[in-house]
Order: sequence, then C-alpha cells, then structure tokens
Amino acid sequence: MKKAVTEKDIEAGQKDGTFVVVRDMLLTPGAREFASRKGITLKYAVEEPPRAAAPLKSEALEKLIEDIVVQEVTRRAAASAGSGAAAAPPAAAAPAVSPPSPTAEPSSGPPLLKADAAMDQSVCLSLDAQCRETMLNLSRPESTGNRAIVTVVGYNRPGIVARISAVVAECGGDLADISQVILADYFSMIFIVNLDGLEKNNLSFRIFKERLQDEALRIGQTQILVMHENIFKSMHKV
Amino acid sequence: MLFSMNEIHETIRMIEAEHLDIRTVTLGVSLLDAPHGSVDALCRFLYDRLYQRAHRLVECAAQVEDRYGIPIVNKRISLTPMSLVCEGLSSTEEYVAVARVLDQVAQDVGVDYIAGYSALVHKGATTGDMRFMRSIPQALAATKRVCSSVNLGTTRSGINMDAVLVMAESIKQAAELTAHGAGCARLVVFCNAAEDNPFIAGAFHGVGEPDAVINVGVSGPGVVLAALRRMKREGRFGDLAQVAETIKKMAFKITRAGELVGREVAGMLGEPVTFGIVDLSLAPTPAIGDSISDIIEEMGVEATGAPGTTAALAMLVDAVKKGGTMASTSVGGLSGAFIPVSEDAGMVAAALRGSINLEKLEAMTAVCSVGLDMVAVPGDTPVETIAGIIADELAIGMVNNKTTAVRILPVPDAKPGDVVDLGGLLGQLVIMPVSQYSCAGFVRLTGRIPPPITSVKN
Repeated sequence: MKKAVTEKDIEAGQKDGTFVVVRDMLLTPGAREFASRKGITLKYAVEEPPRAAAPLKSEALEKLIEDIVVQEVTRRAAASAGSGAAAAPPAAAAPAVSPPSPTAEPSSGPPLLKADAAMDQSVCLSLDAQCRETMLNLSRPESTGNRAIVTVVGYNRPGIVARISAVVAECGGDLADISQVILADYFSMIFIVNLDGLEKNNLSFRIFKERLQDEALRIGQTQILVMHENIFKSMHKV
Repeated sequence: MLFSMNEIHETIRMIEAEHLDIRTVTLGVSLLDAPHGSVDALCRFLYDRLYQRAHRLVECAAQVEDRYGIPIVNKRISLTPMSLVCEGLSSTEEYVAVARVLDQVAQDVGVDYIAGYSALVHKGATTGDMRFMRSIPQALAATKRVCSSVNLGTTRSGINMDAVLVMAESIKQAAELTAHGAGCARLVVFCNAAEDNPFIAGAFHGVGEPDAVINVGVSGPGVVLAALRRMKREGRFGDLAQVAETIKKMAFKITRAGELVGREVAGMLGEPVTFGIVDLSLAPTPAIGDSISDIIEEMGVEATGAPGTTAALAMLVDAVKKGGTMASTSVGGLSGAFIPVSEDAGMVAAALRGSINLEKLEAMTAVCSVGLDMVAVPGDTPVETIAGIIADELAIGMVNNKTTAVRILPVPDAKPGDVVDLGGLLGQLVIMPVSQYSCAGFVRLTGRIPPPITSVKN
C-alpha cells in the first residue's frame, strides 16, 4: 500500500527546499500544489542507472558474432593451408580460434596475427551486412508497441519542449515523434514517447505521468495529458 | 506519425469534454461451491472468497484508469444469485447476516456496490426462494452497498404472478425501511434477466458463467450528443441515415475503449479471472450533457415524452447496437440505452415539466433497455398497483423476447410533483402520478401468465 503524502508531510519532510519522493509515496494534488507554491522541489529518489546504449539482446548478438568469426577463421585457415585442407567442415574448425591451427604457416609469430587487421575488417563488414537487420529488429523501439501519447496545451513561452523532453529523458523515455502547433499565444504539442526505458529505471507509468504533470505545474498555465497509445489504437484502428 | 492529430484530439475531446467514461468494471464471482447449512461457515466462506478474488480490483482499475486517462466511475462485484447459495438458511435473521457480510467485504475491498442478492423465480419459487424474497427489505435496510434483483419472468416460461405480488410487497416494505425509499434504488425486478449484466442494481453472476469474469459497462451519451451537435453546426443534419451513421461510429469507438479496459483489468487480475463482455448501453449520469433525453431532444423532439420520442429512441438504440457489435465480438449484458429517470438530468427536467409520464416511459421501454428505471411514485400507491406496473413492464419483455425491468421507488409521504434528491449518481427523484384505477382483481389471481406463442421455437 502506498503512503499518501499531504501538504503537512511535505512541510515536515522537506530539507533545503527539496522533498524526496520515493516509490511508495502517493502525492495528493494538494501536496503538489503546496510544493509548487512554496517553491519546494520534488525530487524522485529512484536510482537512475547509466543510460545504456541500444537495448541489444546480448546473448543473441554474441552468438551472431561468434558464428561469423568462426566462419571467417575457417575460411582463412583453409586458404592459408593451401588447397589441400580446405575442405575442413566449419564445425571441426571452430576450436581453431584459440590454439594455433596445425595447418598454419610455420613462419614467425602467432599464426593468425598477420591476418588480424584484414580479418577484423572482414568480420565487421560481414556483421554490418548480415546482421544489421537482425540488430535493428532486436533493438527497434517501436516493435514493442509500448508508447505513451503526451499532449501538452498551454500558454506559449520559450523552453517548454526542452523542459518536457528533459523530464521524459530523465525517466528513461525516448521521444519517438513530436508534433506541434502554435496559435497566437498558445501552443498544442503531441509527443510520442517510447516507454521501454521506464522499466529499467524501475518507474511505473503512473510515476512517469505524475512527473510530467509536476513539470506542467512548475511551468504554469499548461495542461498535460499522458495516455498509453493502446487507447488510441483501439478506438481508431481496426 | 502513427496517429493523426485529429484522432488524438478526438479521443481527448471525448474523454475530457464529452464525459466518455467507463461506467463500471464489474467482477463476477461464482459462489456455487459455497457450503450449505451452517450460516457461520457460509459467512466465513463468502468473506474469504470475495476478499481473495476482489481485493486487487480497485487497484487494478485505478492503474488502467491512469494508463489510458479514461475514468472508471464504478468498481463493482456481482455474485451467483444468493438465493441459490442461501437455500439452506431458515430465518430472515440469517439472510440479513449474510447480506451484512457482503456489505462488509464490499467496503473492505473498496467497491461501490456488490450485487447478486438475487433470486430466479420466473417459473416458480422454492420454499427458500420465498424466504429469500421476504428477506430483501431487511437486507437492504441493514446494508449500504448490497444490491438485489429478482427475475420474475422469461419469454420461455411466462410471468410468475405470485412472485410479482410478493416482490411488490417487498418493494413497498423496503421503501418504508429506508430514508426517502432510497433502498429501492438497490432493488430491481426483471423479465429475461441477463446473466452477465455489469450494471447495478440488476447485476448477478449467472450459473452459466465461469469462476470469475470482468464485465464492463460503457457510458457515453455525452459523446453521441456532441457528435449530433457537430453535425448540426456543419450543416450535415438532415438525413436520418447520416444521423444513424454518426451514432454508429461513436458507439464503435466507445465500445472499443470499453473492451480494452475490460481485457486489461482482467489480465492484471490474472487467473482465474477472464474477460467477459462489454455492455454497450448508453448510460446517462446526472451531469449536464450526459443525458439520453438531451439526445432525443437534439434529434428534434421538443421535449422528451412528446410524440416521436419512442421512434427517436428506437433509432438511437439500434444505431448503438450496430456500431457496438461491429466493434467487439464480446457484446453482452443489457446493451441498449438506459432511461433511468432520476439519473438523467434531461429526464428529470422532462418529468418536472410533465412531458413524460409512467405510461410514455413504458412505451419507450419497448424499444430500449431496460425498463421503468428509477421512477418514483407516491408512497401510498397500493401494493396491487405496483404489482400491476411490474406485470405490464414484464409483459413487454416477455412478448418481445427482450430484457425489461422495474426499479420503482414508492417514496413514503411524497405527493406527485415532489422532488427528492438522492445525491451522487442516483440523482433527483421526481414523484410521478399513478393511475387511480385499481388492478387488484387481476394481480391477485394466482399462478403464472403462460409464455407467449413466440416461446415455441424449436
């Protein structure tokens, strides 16, 4: 059960104008308004892991690299041994990666060293060509269908997109698309945010929504709505 | 972009400005394995079973509400008809004790209502059923959240007139035992009751249902009204086919939202809860602009109840059903449009200005779900007259092979034209005049009205 945090709690719990919100707290709208009025910053005490690069599934990728390396080594080993031993099947040649190949050149240095640079390049090229698609599929954010539609309406002034997108990024969300219209002094913006990163930060949809709404309160004269894309999908797509 | 700006704005407008909401997420729970005989053992079983099944319902609904930004107005529980579960009990005190347990568990899990204090007596009543029906007034008076319903007739078996009279007495008694007769707002009698209806007060978990299901009732009169007003502004309001088409499209979208919410909540609750049905009914609220009556008036009827009302309503209900059944294969419950008089600001206004009366309402119920709903009559209305009103309404359902119901409040000491505010979603009761001619001779005849010829289909 979450603990409801009211104005009093904020007043008692704040330190140097900052109140730390942990995951088990549920801030009442009154408490939020109070904090905003008193200039108390609401700080969300969730440990943010260093932002990882693309969320690759490492096992699958490692397997892919290994396969390509094995193929390349087999091919080179066979080529350098002349035509005679070239028929070794890839499976048998696989262990040749660490121990020197019995068919390697007898001259100086580890047998595969000379070929390293060329092989690196060749492996990279192979990787590039063969697995780009696979990698993209593994990491493609929109393949999950876990996105939020964030609609912001309010009085226009500089820095709004920056502030909203900063909060999105801080939560681990990823902006997939933005559309905006400015009419006289008012703006209307729609952000599509990929939510896959939220889980890594141990954030629920609710906290994500609350943080954005907190930001809207701080910006002032701004209304923000956060809805999961499925509601739009189900109402407008058959 | 995956969605057009228009689509996104339309959804937001429907929710923010036009009162699109999910009226209810109702968890149906089977109690068929309840122990019989000892009331203590039964009460313990009921509390444990219901707490275990339902304690996460409110939390899950809140999460879905948050995720999609669509309000879920009510969270409810429906039960296997309690008359089946309580058949072994012997006294009214024991029945009331059971009702109190239901009330307690509803309060503890945080749901708005718990329904299924119900009996099915359409062809005949067992000794237990009779005891049960007589216990309803006390059970309602002793509780706040328990809802009761009794099925008195079906197209297949006719109308059990003995039970109609018993229930008319129970309704009068329940009105006397509760302030302003408000207990009767939790009591409804049916013909052709639906086993998967998520709406109060008539919800129960039918015997043909699985262990636990989530049934969803959508709302949305405001959305339909706004769409018709837009048509007028844009000069497209002229051809009836276009009007029907607009209503269909709106009903489609509302239903899709309902199904999404139902599936999501059921998924979150996990085994053994499954998704049941979406009830398409347009359900009004006392909020301004969320009214069926306003839609009828928007269609060009000066005041709801004027000639043309039934035809306009028939078209509205049909369009809603067509749009809704296109949107979901899991359509069930009552699925039509509700015209609860007190819960609909437009209907209250119509009752106050006298454009609508009991007789016109009865005609309207022939083309919509569900029946004479939340109508108030003077407290001194004779039991026989109430039985006659019930019998008339049930006959419409029996002959037309549809669900009809009566939820009537004989408000003690009230006269026609008086207004009683029940507050919340129950709204304002306007006491309606009742025919002064008696039907006592007819309703005191014993036995059953035989089923109509339309029941012989095989």
